[in-house]
Order: sequence, then structure tokens, then C-alpha cells
Amino acid sequence: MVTNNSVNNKPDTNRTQHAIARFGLAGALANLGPLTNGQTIIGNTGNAPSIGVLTSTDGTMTVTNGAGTIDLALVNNFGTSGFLAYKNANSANVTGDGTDVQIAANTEVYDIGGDYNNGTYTFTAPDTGDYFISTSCYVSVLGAAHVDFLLSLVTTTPVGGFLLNIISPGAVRAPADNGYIGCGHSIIDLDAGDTVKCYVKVGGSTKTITINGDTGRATHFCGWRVR
Amino acid sequence: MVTNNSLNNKPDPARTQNAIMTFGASGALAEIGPLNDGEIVIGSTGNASVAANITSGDASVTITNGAGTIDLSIGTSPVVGTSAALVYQDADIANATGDATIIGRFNTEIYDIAGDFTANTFTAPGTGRYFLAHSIHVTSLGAAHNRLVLWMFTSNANYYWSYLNSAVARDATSNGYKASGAVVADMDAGDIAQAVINVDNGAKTVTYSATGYSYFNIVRFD
Repeated sequence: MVTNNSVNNKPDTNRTQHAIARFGLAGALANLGPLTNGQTIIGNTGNAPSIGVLTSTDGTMTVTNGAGTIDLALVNNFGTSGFLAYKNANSANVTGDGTDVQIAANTEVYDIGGDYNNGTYTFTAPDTGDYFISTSCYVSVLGAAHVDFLLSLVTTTPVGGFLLNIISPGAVRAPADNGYIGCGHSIIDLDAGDTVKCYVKVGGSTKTITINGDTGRATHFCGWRVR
Repeated sequence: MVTNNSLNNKPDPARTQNAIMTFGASGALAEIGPLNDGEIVIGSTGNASVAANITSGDASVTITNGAGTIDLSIGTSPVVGTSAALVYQDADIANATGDATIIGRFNTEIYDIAGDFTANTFTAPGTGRYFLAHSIHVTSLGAAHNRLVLWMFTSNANYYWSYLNSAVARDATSNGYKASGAVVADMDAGDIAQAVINVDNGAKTVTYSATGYSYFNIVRFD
């Protein structure tokens, strides 16, 4: 005689080991699962509960499923890549005749992620995202005839890059060293593998311009992943 | 005659109240739990499911478990933004520079998270990288004021963003010039940053202008 609600523990080929027991039609027991790693029971209004994993369809969260575990982590790309580098010595007679010169920011202050190459003065985006980029360039030995100064970022995407500063530098050169400093910054969307380089061009006269560099970081190149 | 594992709905001391039923070997009933606050049933491929809490190993998600509740929120805050300030100058300062006087004045705070900005100076609360940006507008530049330098002083290094002959570059209306710059600078705990300008080689007659805002913006990045 059966006296309680124990199961008779007889082999039942309709049951699946490790499945969750649920009540089905007319109160009959039914299987739910078995559940695989990270799966859990999720309600489904008016229907049998579902089994499924937690998801983050917008990618803002990482869900790591294990044997009996679910671990959540926020996806935060901010600051996973960043660099600050400066030019540590002067380079004389590098432009002035319209030569476009890559700014040789050869000394790293920091390089989070190792994405800046201080030999090629190139930043390579480690992943698709948005990056704050800034640069400043100190030139000297300007003459009155040097009527063009263009400071630009050359990027893979968009092809051509960004013009940050344009002026007639000979007219506004400061006395003593006939110098000028131009700078600019922007937040740029880059794809994985895209590169960013800084260029300066002084034109209108002879190739007598010095790009200044020293530990004061007057000529520098900086980037930071923001998203 | 009972032929399968249907329940008889009679008291059974072998069962644990509030446990979840699962099928064991050969379809026999077994238990999961009972579940404690916030626990859920989580699968384990090829094995019995378990009762466990959701976790966040890197603490980036705070999981607050209650009786029948699980509340998720952003967890351990990254350091970004724990110190930040946006300040500006709300009134002109006449005769501020022109004779090489270095000046940076920001008497009005829009915000100053953590209170690290005071007396025109930002003091880093911890070692890290800080976004530093500023823009300064000067007017009443004269013909003799032929050198202007806009720069960010920090304890580790200076960042120069404008250097030119302001007597030539000045606009015709206010004899003014405005420049700006930004960098993500390395700072050590206790280091200071001051956003400044100096105009040289003339009399101290240049106005540090509030028009169009002379501002200083700081955000701790890491």
C-alpha cells in the first residue's frame, strides 16, 4: 500500500536523468531539461517554463556559463588602450617647403595595451571603438614667407584623416625663436587595426623649419579609448 | 496498481520541504535545494543541476539577493570620473598679464566631484591618468604683446597648446585671442595641475576675459 507521495522509484523510461520535474497536463509529471552549463529555468507566461541562458544582446555584459555557475561582468572598454608620447629632441630643416612630416613622438610616458609604436610613431586601434586623440606640435625658425601650417591626423578610417590646425605661421610667429605651437583634438571612431599618425606641414618657403622636442612634452601625441 | 512514478500526495518525511524536484537515476525523483535567497537552478552539463547564486567574479556587477529577488546593478565603480571638475571665470580680470605674468583664474565651479579643485588648482587624489582641457580668452592685446603662451602646468610636465605672436593674431574687435587644448596626462597622487596663460613683452594691460568662458575641465580617467 502506498501511504505517502513518494515515488515508486521504479524505472521509468519516460523520465530523463537530471531533468527538472514539472507538472504537465492533468498533473502528470514531465521533464524540463536536463539543463546544460549555465542554463536556468525562465518563466514563459501561460506555458511551461523554459530553460535558457542569460543573455546580453547589446553586448554591455559578458555572461560566462559554467557547471552550475553563471558569472556576470560588465563590458567596459574605456581606458583599455591609451598612450602619451612626446618628441624628445629637435629635428632641424624638416619642413618649410611644403614637406609633410610625421611627428616623431618617440618617447612614451605611458602605453596602455601596447598599441603605440614609438619607432613608427603610429597608434593602431586594438578594436573597433571611439578614441580620444590629441596632439600638439611646436615648430620654430619660421620666416615671414612661411605662410602655411597644417597639423593633421592621418587615419585609415576615414581615409585622409583630420585637419586640426591651419594658420599662416610666419605672420604670427613668436619672437626669439620665431616659433609657433599648434594643437588639436578629436574623438574618432576607429575600426580594429586602423592606424593614426600625426603630421605637420609648413609651406611657402625654404626647408628650414625645426620641429621642437624636449622633455617638456611641447610636441606630443596622445590617445585614449573612450568606448 | 502503481506502475510509474506518479505522486500519491501523501506526507513523505523523506522529502525536504521547498526543494525543487529533479529526476535522478532511472527516473526516480530527487531534490535540488531548497533554494536560499537569490539562488536559482543552474544547469551543469551531464550532471544534476544545482542551486546557486549568480556571481560577478570581477565585481563589475553588484548582485543583491533577497527573498525571491535578484537585483543587479553596476558594481565596483571604475575609478573614471571619481574626480572631476569643470570651472570657469565669471568676470573679466583687467590688467591680468601682458608683462609675462602667468595667470589662470577659474572662480566658479559648475561641478567639482570629490572637491579636488581649489584656488585655481587641481590636486590629483591618486596616481593615474587625468583628462585635462582648458580654454582661455584674453582681450586688450596691444602691438607690443608679441608673445602668448597657453599651457597646462602639471607637476610631471607642462603641455603647451598655443605659442604665437598675439599682437598679430589678435582679432580686430576686442584685440582678443582665444586658444584651447587637451591631453590625458599622467599624474601622481598629490600632483597639481594649473591651466594658465601668459602674454609677454608689453605692459600688464591684457584682460583675462570671461566672455565666451575661460574654462578648465578635469576628469580622472584611471
